[in-house]
Amino acid sequence: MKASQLSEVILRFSFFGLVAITILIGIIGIKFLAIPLLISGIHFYIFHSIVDHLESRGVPRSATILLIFGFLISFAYWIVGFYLPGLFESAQPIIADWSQKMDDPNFQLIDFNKLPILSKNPELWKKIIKPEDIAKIATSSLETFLQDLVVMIPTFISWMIIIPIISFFLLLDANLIYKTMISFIPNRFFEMFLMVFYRTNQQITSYLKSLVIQCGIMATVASFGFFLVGMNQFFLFGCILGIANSVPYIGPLLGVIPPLLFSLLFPEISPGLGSVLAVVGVAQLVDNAIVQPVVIANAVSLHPLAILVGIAVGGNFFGIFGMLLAIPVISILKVTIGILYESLKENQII
Amino acid sequence: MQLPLWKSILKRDDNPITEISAFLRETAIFQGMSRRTLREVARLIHKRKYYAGETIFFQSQAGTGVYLILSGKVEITSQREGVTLKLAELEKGAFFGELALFQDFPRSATAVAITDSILLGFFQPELKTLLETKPRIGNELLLGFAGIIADRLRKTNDTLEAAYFKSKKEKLKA
Repeated sequence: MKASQLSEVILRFSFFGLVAITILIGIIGIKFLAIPLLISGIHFYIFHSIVDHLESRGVPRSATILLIFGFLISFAYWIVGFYLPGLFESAQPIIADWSQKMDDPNFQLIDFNKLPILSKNPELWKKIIKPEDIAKIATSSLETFLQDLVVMIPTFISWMIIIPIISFFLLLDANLIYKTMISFIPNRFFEMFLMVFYRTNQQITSYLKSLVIQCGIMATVASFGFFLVGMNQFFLFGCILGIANSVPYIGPLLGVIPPLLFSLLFPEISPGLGSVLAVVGVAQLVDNAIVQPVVIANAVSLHPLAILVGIAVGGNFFGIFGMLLAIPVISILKVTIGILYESLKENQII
Repeated sequence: MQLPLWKSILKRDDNPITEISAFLRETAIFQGMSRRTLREVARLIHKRKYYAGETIFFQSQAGTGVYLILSGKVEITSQREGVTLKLAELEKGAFFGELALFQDFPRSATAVAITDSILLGFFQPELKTLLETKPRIGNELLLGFAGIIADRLRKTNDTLEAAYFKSKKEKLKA
């Protein structure tokens, strides 16, 4: 073997070795970076149209991005600095009242005599359903959840640093990143991929934008409804309902659990179950009759089974974040695969 | 010289954009456009390298935009009923494939690089992005392209008219 051939082989091996190492590091890092990357990607898709729009009016991209970040950081600061402490403060009397009740041996978590069907034979139901045991299980689950949350604090802190940085550069250098990605595509497929990227981008942007608008409207309607019926922490429960609504089919059911549980456990400071259900019903009516047909005209429709499987898999891999992000990810994948398939057919590749 | 971090973030390496916009000013398609428009196009344009003999696009393949020759030579051929017709041999500064910028129509000819060539591609997504984000520049570009297409249409009309009158004259003589 000639010296030049040998050096060629060494160079080739070094190149592929470096590529393999980069991919390996990427795979190892993906577990840690998957959630921040996803959240940053969602940030990008939600905000890039605002940045583009203001850029068309002559506002520099960096200024708009800093303005958006300023708004988001102020909102987060208000939540952490004012809203949450206020929430904990208002919860103090309830917690004190509960600890007093728990000390009372005659205390019943749920009065079976007041509940329909169960009130006919309360003693039997007391033996079957032991509310105190359920409370114990709930308390220990809550304790485990809080412990997990404490363990996650360093990860959360690193996310809080990484997510804004990735989002900032995605929004600032979207064109540069896109052009760099495109430059790796072979000449033969280059034009096809340009269109695939463009159409996918359009679809994902419109899907995520409509999702945010839908959640926002739902949260506002539900918060206002809870406020009207005199619900304590109407804003919190409204937001939970709005965010949960982003998960099709299951979301509205999940979102109704916290306000229902709250009014069941604290009947003295909450409106009746009927009022809570009525607010949720009206919010759902507004969503199905007005918001969805107008805002989500081209929404990505997913089969209920795909949603269930997606939530289960997402939850298994990435916990509560995985559950929340599963549906947007599946929708994005569905759109991408659909457009890619169409383009490959159009270009007679498959 | 090592720049501070914030300068590295906000200041970009503008040399390729300056170089490309200077080239664009010399081309028939972009000449007469404002400096700002040329810089925006240069920012969005794709620079691709093709080796001698490499096909840029095939006839009847879905097309999305126009190519400009930065360096090298490109041959345009058309094939119909088994006959291949050489339509043109293009050099630095020439452009081809501009109809695909406005219509989702299959390419009407095949383009092959005769020598190693560097091409600049401007495509539908970029034009749409410009129209959405910088409508003034987008409109200037649209007017520029419309001018080029109108010019070609006028030339085609003249050729057809000349051919029509020629055949009419020949018929009258006969």
